[in-house]
Formats: sequence, C-alpha cells, structure tokens
Amino acid sequence: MTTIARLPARPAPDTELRSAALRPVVLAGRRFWGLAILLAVAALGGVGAYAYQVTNGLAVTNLSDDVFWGLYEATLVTFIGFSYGGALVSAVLRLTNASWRGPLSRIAEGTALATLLVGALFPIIHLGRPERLWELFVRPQIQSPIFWDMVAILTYLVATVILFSLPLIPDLAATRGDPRLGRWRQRAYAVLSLGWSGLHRQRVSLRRALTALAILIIPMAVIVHTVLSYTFSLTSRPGWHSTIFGPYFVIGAIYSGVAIVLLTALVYRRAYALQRWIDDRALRNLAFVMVALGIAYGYSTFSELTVEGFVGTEASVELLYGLMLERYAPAFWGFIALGLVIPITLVVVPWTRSPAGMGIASVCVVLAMFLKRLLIVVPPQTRPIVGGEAGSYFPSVVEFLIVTGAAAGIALILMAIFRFVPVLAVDEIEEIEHEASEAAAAGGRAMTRPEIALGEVH
Amino acid sequence: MYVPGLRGMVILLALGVFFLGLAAPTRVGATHRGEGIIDATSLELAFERSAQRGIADRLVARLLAVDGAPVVGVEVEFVREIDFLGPRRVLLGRAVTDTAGVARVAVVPTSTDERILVRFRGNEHFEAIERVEVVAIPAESVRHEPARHSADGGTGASLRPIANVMPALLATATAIIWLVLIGLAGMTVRAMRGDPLPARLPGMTGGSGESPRTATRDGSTVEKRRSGT
Repeated sequence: MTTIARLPARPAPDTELRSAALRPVVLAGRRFWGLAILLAVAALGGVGAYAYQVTNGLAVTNLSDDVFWGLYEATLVTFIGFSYGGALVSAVLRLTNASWRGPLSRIAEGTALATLLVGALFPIIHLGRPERLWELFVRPQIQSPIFWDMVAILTYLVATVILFSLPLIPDLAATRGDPRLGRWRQRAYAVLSLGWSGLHRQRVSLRRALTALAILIIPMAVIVHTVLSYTFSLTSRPGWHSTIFGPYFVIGAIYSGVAIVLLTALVYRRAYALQRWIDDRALRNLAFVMVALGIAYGYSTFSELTVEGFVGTEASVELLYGLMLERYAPAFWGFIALGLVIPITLVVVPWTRSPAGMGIASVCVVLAMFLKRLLIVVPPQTRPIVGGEAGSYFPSVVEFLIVTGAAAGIALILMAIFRFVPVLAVDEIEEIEHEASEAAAAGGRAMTRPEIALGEVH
Repeated sequence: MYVPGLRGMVILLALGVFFLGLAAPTRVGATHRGEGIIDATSLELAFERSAQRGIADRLVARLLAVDGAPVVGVEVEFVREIDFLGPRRVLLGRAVTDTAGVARVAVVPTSTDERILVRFRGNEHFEAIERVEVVAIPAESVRHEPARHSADGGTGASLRPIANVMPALLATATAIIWLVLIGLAGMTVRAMRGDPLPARLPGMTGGSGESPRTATRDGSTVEKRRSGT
C-alpha cells in the first residue's frame, strides 16, 4: 500500500462534545414541539395573508402612490443584513484563525442561510404581479440596479449554501454512528458525508476550499448590501440620495447580523445546556464585536445627519425635523436608545455583561435595526416631490401578518436545520483544541487565545 | 320572370352606384375598417444638431398622413437598438407631434451612427407605423459626458458606451464568481471521495451519559491499522 504522509495523530475525539452537538437533533420535548407549532401557525398565517394579497392585489397593503415602499422593503434589507452578519462571523473568524470561533461557526452559518432564504423572498412578496417574475430572467433590464440586486442575492445564496454545507461533511461523518440518530438519519449522514474518513488530503482539500470561500464571501456580502443600498441612493430623493449609504448599509447589516448570531447562540446554549461549549468567552468576544460595530454605526448615523443638517437644504431640514423632533421622533430616539445606547452599555459595563445582559442587548439591536430600516425607507417618501400633501404610511394587518410569518419562518428553518445537523462544528472545535494543545506542547506561550483589552476573564 | 323596364334598370343602376360608393375608399391608400376611415401615414427621422451651447441635440420625427397633411398631437416613441447578448431596445423618450407633425426628443449621441427606431402606435384615425434607420450623427455632436438637463427643460437620454460596458463587466464578474463557487464545491466533493468509508470512523460517538453505549477510538491507532493493510 502506498505510504501517504499524514498529519500527526489527533488525540482521542471528544465524545462528550459529539454527543452535545447532537442534542438538538435527538432531544425534542414538549417545549420544542409547542414552539414549533406556534411558529408554524404564525408562518401559515403569513402564507395565508400573502395568498389574500395576491388575490386582492397590493391594495390590501397601505402602500400608495406617495409611499410605494414600506414594511416589505425594510424587512428585505433587515433579513439580508442578518445573513451578512452570520456569513461574516463565520468567514472572518475562520480567516483570522480566532480560537473562539468553533462553537459559533455552525450557528452563524445556519443563521445566515435561514435569514437569506426568507429575506430573498421579499422582493417577490412586494411584487404586484408575482407570476411575472420569470420575465426578470428572460427579459432582464440590464441597466437596472434591481436586476443586479437579484443576481447578487442569488449568487450570495449559492455561496452561503456552500459555506454551510462544506464544514458539515466531517461532522456528519463523525456523528453518523450515533444510535440515537435513528436509521434514516444515519443513512442520510453517511451519504452526505461524501466518503469523509479524516485523511490528510481530505482535510487539506476541505481547509483550502473553506479558506477560498471565506475570502470570496466577504466581498460578495459587501457587494450584495451595497447594491441593495443603491436601490435607494441611486435616486434623487432627499433622504435617500446619500453617498454614505453603501458603507452605512454594510455596517448596519453586520451589526444586526452579529446580534442575531449572538441571540441564536444564547438560545441554543440555554435550551440544550451547551454552556461548556458555547462558553462565556465566545459570547463575550462576539458581544464585543457587536459593540464595535454599534459604535461604527452610531458614528455613521451621526455623520450622515450632521452633514445633512449642516448644509441645510429645504428638503433635508424638513426631513431632519420630522425625524428628530416631530412625526418620527419617538421612533428615531427609540432606535438611538434601543439600538445604540442600551446594548453598548449592557456589554461594556462588566456587571451587566452576563449572558442575560448580552441576550437583552442582542434583542434590542435586532428590533432597533429593523426600526431604523423603516426610518430609512418610509419618511423620505412621505415628502412630496412634485406637489401635493405629505404622504403617510402605517403597515396594514396583511403586511404585519406576512412579516411576522416570515420571522417565524426563519426560526422554523433554524429549528429544522439543527434538528437534522449537529449544532456545534465538532471537527472544527476538535481541530482548534488539537492545535492549541500542539502549540502548548511545543513550548512557549500559545498565542492562539487573543487577549481582549476590555478585561477578559479566563 | 320579372324583367325590369328601362325605369327600373335606371333605379337599380343608381342604387348600385350608391352602394358601391359607400364601399369604396374615399382617399387613395386608406384602409376601410368598418365604421371609420383610417389613414395611412409616413414617418421620417432625422438628427437635429443644436445651434446653441447648453441646448441638447435632438432626434426629429415627422409624421404625415398619406395626403401630406401633418398628424398633430399624437405620441411618437424613439427607441435605440443595441446589441448586448442579443438585440435589445432602449427607450430614449416619447414626444407629442406639433402642428407640423414634428416630434422631438433630446439625445446625447456617443457615436456617429445610431440605429434608431421611431414608432407611432396608431389611433382610431391613423395607421400605426414604425421605421428603423441608421441616423448619421456629425462627429462634433458626439460626446462622452453624462446626460444633462438642457436649458429648455428637456432631458437627454444617454447613449454613452459606458451604459453597455458596465452590464458586460458585471455579467463577467458574476460568471467568474459562479464558476469559482461551483469549482470549489466540485473539487472538494471529488476530494472527499476516495477510500471507501469504513464501518466505523475513529471516535464514532455512541453518546456520553445519554446513551447506554460509549465508544472511544484512538484515531491514530485506526490510521496505522489502515496503512498496514
């Protein structure tokens, strides 16, 4: 038999880790099914509301000639933003070889996939004639940013599916023999593990592919969200026509995306007693990343408003007054409080930097960023451009039902994903621990655990 | 059998002429469609260079009825035909004919010959007509600036080649990304295949504390065994 160069022998696999990774797969009690049923009802309600909308037309929404984009567009931007955060957490932490990425990468990738699958539906939901969607493919308007937005989102979706699937291969192979899985899952795992047997060449190939994919997905995600911002900024409408919208949207997307990954990790950690694996260090580091992005987003918001207010064109002043002092002031200052002040404070202050505090912070960010997207989309449209009275908009019941159903759909997809695949990236965690122990054994201080300036506790 | 007399034949002849006259078109070239008469039309297209800086150049269409009378107050479309991944059309603008039957739309030409389609969609009085022509543009009119609003309020539709280059670049970049993604996935899947999957992999879990079976395997031991066979 040909001698094949192999990596040094890995230590005994951590069976407790592998067992813990399968807990969401094999354990499904009454609370799980109760929640699943509740979410399914909400999702079906959304589907029913959409069917009602298709039958009766967009008149069932409160969209009008003045305000032609509303809750659906804000939801599209929000959900696509969530997916960007998940993909970025996985990709950037992999490229920087962060030692704390292991427990979070599968959750981040799953969150990216679930939010993108649902978010990408919203341009269709917003269409008045969805049966004409096929014309976007056979008769595209290639000069339109909306066409390229669709292309970018589809490409990003393919990349996210691959980013989620490839790291699964060794984990499915490692856990396929667990008798708790049942026969059909064991067979599925055997098929989906594609002949993985831990050989050196397989590991090298997988590592190269994941590195290349991580490098590729970062600019793709930037492009997707920048093109999404162009649907607003490439217009001459005051409040939308802003040169800062590209990076503003990207930063906002990562900020909200990291928050949703943090929230998902906290939920699974609590629900399946994964504290040993999704430890406080990983959560804290992720929360610090969220805070840094929150500060960047706050700075961008300040910059945009200051420039608009200082120059003081009639349209800008009118919009700023409405946003900060008049009609939309409660929503705007609510965003400032919920989206910036409270979450940053909760994470930065040591005695509130607990899992509960981080959970509250992430929930605040998720809700506030959704509100901020509404504030970006709606108020500039209420100001008439040609003439007439100021417009107004408040989402209808149908719109609320559809968006609620979509949010429930994301949670359902996540639950379904982790009912089928391990929630922890077993092979990646073992590899990280193996590298750490190798480095420690080789002598000298292992630099695989970067120190956090804000007071990390080992 | 009744044979009409001379008076009857004159009456019949007069009636025949009367009904034939109703059926016959009153003007040469008109098409009878039942209730009204619809005139045929002719359409001419030309390029009109602006004599004044700040005023955009124009495409000019002249719509006449078959008898040479101008067709007034109807909408004419100007469309540019391009070739990008197949024949495509870009609407340059629409204009209403004036009292001379002339419709004008402002343009910013970017080459000395533009393939333009001009179209009148017809109405209850006039036939639809369209005409495709390669319009010769003077070299001094060809510019590569962004379209600007002209002093008289018209907006030039851009004919800049960048409008064709950007979609080509985006399509190329997208195609490359797709090829890379599919290639990565394909190569990785191929690399996974190789040695057949053993019955049990190193450290295949049997559960820990939650299952009666516990299995622990030393990966290195299994690998040595495999390399020895």
